Amino acid sequence: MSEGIAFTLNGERVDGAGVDPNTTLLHFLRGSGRTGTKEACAEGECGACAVACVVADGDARSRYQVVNSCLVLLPEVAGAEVWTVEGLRGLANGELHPVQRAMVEHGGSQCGYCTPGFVMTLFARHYARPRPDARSAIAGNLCRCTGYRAILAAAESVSEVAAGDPHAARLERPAPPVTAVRFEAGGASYARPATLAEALAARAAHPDAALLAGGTDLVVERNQDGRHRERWLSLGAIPELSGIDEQGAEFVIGACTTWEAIEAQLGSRVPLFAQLIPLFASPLIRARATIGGNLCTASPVGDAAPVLLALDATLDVASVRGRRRVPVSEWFTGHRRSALAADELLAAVRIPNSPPGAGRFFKVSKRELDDISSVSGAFAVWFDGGVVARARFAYGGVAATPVRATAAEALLVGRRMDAASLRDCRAAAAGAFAPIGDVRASAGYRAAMVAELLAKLWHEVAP
Amino acid sequence: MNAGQPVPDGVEITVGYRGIGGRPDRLETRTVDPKEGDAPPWDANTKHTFVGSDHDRVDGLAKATGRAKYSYDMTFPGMLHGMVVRSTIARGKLTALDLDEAKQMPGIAAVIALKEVGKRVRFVGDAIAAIAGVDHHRVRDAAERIKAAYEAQEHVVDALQSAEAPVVSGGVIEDPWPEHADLDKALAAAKTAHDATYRTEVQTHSSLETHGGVAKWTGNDLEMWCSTQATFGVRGELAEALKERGVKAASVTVHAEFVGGGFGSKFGAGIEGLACCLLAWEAKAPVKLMLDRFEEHTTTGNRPSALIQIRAGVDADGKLTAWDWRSFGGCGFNGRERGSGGNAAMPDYYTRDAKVRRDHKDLAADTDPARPMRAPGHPQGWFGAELFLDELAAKAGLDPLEFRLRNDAETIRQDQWRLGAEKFGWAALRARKNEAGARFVRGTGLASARWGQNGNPGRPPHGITCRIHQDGTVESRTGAQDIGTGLKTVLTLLTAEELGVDPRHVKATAGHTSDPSGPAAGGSTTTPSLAPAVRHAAFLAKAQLAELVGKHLGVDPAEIVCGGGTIGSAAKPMPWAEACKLIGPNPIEARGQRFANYEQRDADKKVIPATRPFSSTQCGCQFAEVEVDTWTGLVRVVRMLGVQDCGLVIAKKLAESQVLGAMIQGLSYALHEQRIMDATSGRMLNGDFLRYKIAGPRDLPELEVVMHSIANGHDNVSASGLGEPPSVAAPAAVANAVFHAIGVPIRHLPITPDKVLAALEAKKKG
Ligand SMILES: Cc1cc2nc3c(=O)[nH]c(=O)nc-3n(C[C@H](O)[C@H](O)[C@H](O)COP(=O)(O)OP(=O)(O)OC[C@H]3O[C@@H](n4cnc5c(N)ncnc54)[C@H](O)[C@@H]3O)c2cc1C
Ligand code: FES
Ligand code: FES
Repeated sequence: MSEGIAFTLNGERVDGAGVDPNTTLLHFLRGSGRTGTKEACAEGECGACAVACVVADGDARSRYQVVNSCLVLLPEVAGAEVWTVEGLRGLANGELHPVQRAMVEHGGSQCGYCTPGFVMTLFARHYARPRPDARSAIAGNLCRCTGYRAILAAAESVSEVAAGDPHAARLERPAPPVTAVRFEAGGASYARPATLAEALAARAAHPDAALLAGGTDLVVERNQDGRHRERWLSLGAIPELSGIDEQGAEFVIGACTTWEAIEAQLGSRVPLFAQLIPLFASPLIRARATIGGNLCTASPVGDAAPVLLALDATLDVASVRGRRRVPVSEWFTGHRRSALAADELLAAVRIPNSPPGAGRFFKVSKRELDDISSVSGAFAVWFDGGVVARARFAYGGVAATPVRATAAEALLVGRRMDAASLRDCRAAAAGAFAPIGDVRASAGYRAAMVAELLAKLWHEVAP
Repeated sequence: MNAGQPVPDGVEITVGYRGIGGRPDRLETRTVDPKEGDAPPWDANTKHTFVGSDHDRVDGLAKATGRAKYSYDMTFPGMLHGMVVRSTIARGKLTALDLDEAKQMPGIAAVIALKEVGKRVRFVGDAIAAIAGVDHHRVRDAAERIKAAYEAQEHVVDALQSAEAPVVSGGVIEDPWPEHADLDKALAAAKTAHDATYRTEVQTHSSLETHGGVAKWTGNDLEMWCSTQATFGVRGELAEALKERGVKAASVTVHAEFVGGGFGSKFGAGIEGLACCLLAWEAKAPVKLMLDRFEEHTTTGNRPSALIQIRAGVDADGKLTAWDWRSFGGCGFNGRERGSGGNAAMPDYYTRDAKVRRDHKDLAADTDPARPMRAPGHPQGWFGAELFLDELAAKAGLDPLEFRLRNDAETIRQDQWRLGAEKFGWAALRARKNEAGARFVRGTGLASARWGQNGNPGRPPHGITCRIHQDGTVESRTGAQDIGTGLKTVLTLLTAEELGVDPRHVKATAGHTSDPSGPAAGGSTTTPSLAPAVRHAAFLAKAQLAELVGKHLGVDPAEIVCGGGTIGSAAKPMPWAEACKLIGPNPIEARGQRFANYEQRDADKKVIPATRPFSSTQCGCQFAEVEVDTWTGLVRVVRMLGVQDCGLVIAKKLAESQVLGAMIQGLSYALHEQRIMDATSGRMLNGDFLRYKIAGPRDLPELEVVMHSIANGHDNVSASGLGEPPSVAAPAAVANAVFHAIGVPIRHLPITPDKVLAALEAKKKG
């Protein structure tokens, strides 16, 4: 158990003892004069604050993961290795890193305020195996000046990692372990237990503690309301809560598994995830955001819910009192409310390993990508011969909670997916919900999408 | 020499450009009147070594390594954090303000009132008080202890609901057009006429670095690091506001060495800048006060919304004969607080032979006042005008390009239209038909651009300092700021060109008011205003060096030339580094001046009127191709092309980046950006980047620009600014492409999926 919050920054040990745990990594860096990392939104949208962390890539190796430092509380990086724009270098000391050189040569900056963030994103991409395509990699960074073309050109121009690259050498060793932490400073405490039992005990003792998974909802909220939380309980070091297991006929996903990990490990097994995840936020957010956090926020437009509803997932909920199972269809009890009791934790998400014959996830937002859904729909259909044996039509953004259009589902059972069944299902679904309008979409548009997405489904999957 | 007096008889130069798009050369000989002692004019025939090259941005390295220090980054020992406390009501009066409890809170060093009791509250977020303390948390806690009471009045945050707004129903202005005999006659006689109403929403500047700064006092001397696009303006504003405390303009220094964007919103210190200085004074410690994203969206100005109605007619030849325009601008509180009001500008080059009327009215509302934003008034006005033109062309059975060619009075753009159409494949794209009932449909559109501001001499004239040191390095310094447009690179390349030395030897510095005065970065005037002074400064410094070299070589200084890294006589060139050793420990220092723009005369000695090509306006045009998903209503821009008059290109990559960035900002305005206000609370509902969307990397279409370099003969350089000109056309081009794709115009920006579906629905119903 560590009492301080020391970590490695650009290869040097830094001690954060005495720093209030409410402080974000970004504010810690900037407050200590390391101002290369920028602040521009404090809500995970712009990527100006991007930094890279060394995380595990299997047991023996590691990789660089970029995250939004505005959404990472300082104690979360206790024991970690963090790189910022100031720490990058080329083959020799004093030489520019290849991505920095590329940004300079391609004219990737105008005002330059976004540049360090892009540099860090491109830095992590430089070493990634395989390298993601440049456009997806930078999807979590905003630039108001350049129009992005030069930045993309810079990204695409960078050659393979050179022999002797000092940053590559680091990746040949394991990542630092994520260990238990407990400390207090500035009138606030932070605890990151290493076992579920300890976490449950802490949760029972202090149900009011801010419960932190990836922090991509919670820290945004904290940054915006500015309130000082006195007690933090982080779930980030509990092996039981993260990772994916195949148990009998089910996939069991730890509640603290990140979207990045789910995509890597389950993308090919659960096609609905493969469709959902690239549409979910940005790579930087997906590196931290967890499936459990998404469910516990219980947002009506959260993207996990429709998919999990369509797949008939069940949730494992744990407390010192024991464990219970909740079907995901009973999880959402109202606008931003879930069935979770004050002393409980969401422990795992169970998905039956019986892939539907056809599955589609559609996300409709104001812009094509990198946006919160106005309406989302997840559809799963199981066939028996040519006719439908079971159907799930689940929506987000059309009611106070994510919901299924059960009447329409029932109408399809025993029938073919043809024009007639589409017409009937559309009619049944169209009137099922009374969505409200908000800044993302009007009520009418949402209502129209309920039926429109079914048409889209038929168009794409009808045999 | 008779410095400052015009050269007798003037100098002949060639202005214009070589033919583009298979069209003839547009070169004209003109006589201009440079001042004695100024650097001789460059023109269309000048060959440059560094100017126009693809040299890197000189501070690109500082930016890519994180070493560039923005105001937001300045940190001093003992520095406190400041915050503005803001009104929660949209309209009314401040009736009580109690700061005492906040002052007693731990860690709080200063609490000040920013609004007097009894004064008017103008919008949600109007500044009431300010606090400085040791950290953000304590400041936030103290803010909650400030007790402000208001007498609230009924507010209106939607300009179209204000008392002076016209009646709009179903998107159409109901009020009849006021009579106008000539126009009415022309409209009645027109072969084809059209009448339609257009709307745009409030757009925020959304600079990545927010407003604010760091203030630090030493006795009565104030230093302020301010995120601004007008260092001298901020100094003047602060000195004026602080004069009752005995502060003199001479003892205020403003720094803005790196600025994270401005786009027109950062011309002043603003209430946040002043609060920062007052808090630092009160607390006797440096204070940093930077706004958060919500404050940035809601209190630092915006591009006003617009409501535009146009009616016009064409004759049998497709020539516009009548053009009637009325516009209304949603300019926020009273419309006159700092900046441009709600103006919606209108192109005038299509209607030179038509009967024209233009009327504009500002509509006040209880929201944050508008400020200039990149080409104030233009993107909204051009959206209305250019979409209207496409609708009218469709009615008249004319291709939109053909329609433009018949009406556009500007020669430069006539050439640009043809070049652009060819490059973009206009004819083929317009001929392509979408399959009936297809889910994805494509369309192609175009729009024009114009910007009419030139460089100016400044009053008193802008200056530049050029120093040459004995080690061969050169400095070029301005007190004006580089907000990302590349001013430092411009200084570097022009100085290098004038001295014939590699740009590596030149160090440019911008953004400290201790250096010579220069313009605000606005209206695309900075580069053309300062470039001639940069040359002048280097030219004068060179003359001093020539003096030394001449003496050393025993040659008449008038015979000394420099170039290719040498300076000397033709027979005895000295390497630059050797020559500079003659200088001694004190550098050569020269102060260049921005003279007035040349008066240009034609071969008959007649002064060139402003309407002649290359004289006053900058032309451009843009093309866009979109794909519309008719099921979800999503619009994706697939490809864009910009053809842009950019004066003499000084730094190619930087100039291109300006144009590309403007095109994406235009795309963003066309498809995403919209401030959404809550009528009840008067608060912005999407005051963040999560719900106020600006274009991201994945919105990026295939982009191409043609930098149309034109020697305009305005001054010794012939440069133009590129902030505004390329940002005029893009939204209109996108809107026209959507019109082409779905066959119905979307007359209300942004073109969001719900509007597209509604339009398709309406079309189906006929
Ligand atoms: C820029 C940006 C883009 C986004 N885009 C999307 C998007 O496209 N789609 C989408 O659905 N969401 C999006 N989100 C929201 C967010 O990323 C997701 O909801 C994410 O999955 C939340 O997970 P987290 O681990 O970060 O949650 P946290 O912020 O850590 O927690 C969220 C809430 O859940 C509680 N909680 C977390 N884990 C548990 C647990 N195991 N047991 C009990 N309670 C728990 C926390 O106490 C907190 O109240 C976006 C957020 C940002 C900042
Ligand atoms: S500051 Fe914008 S994402 Fe962190
Ligand atoms: S260069 Fe200004 S925000 Fe990217």
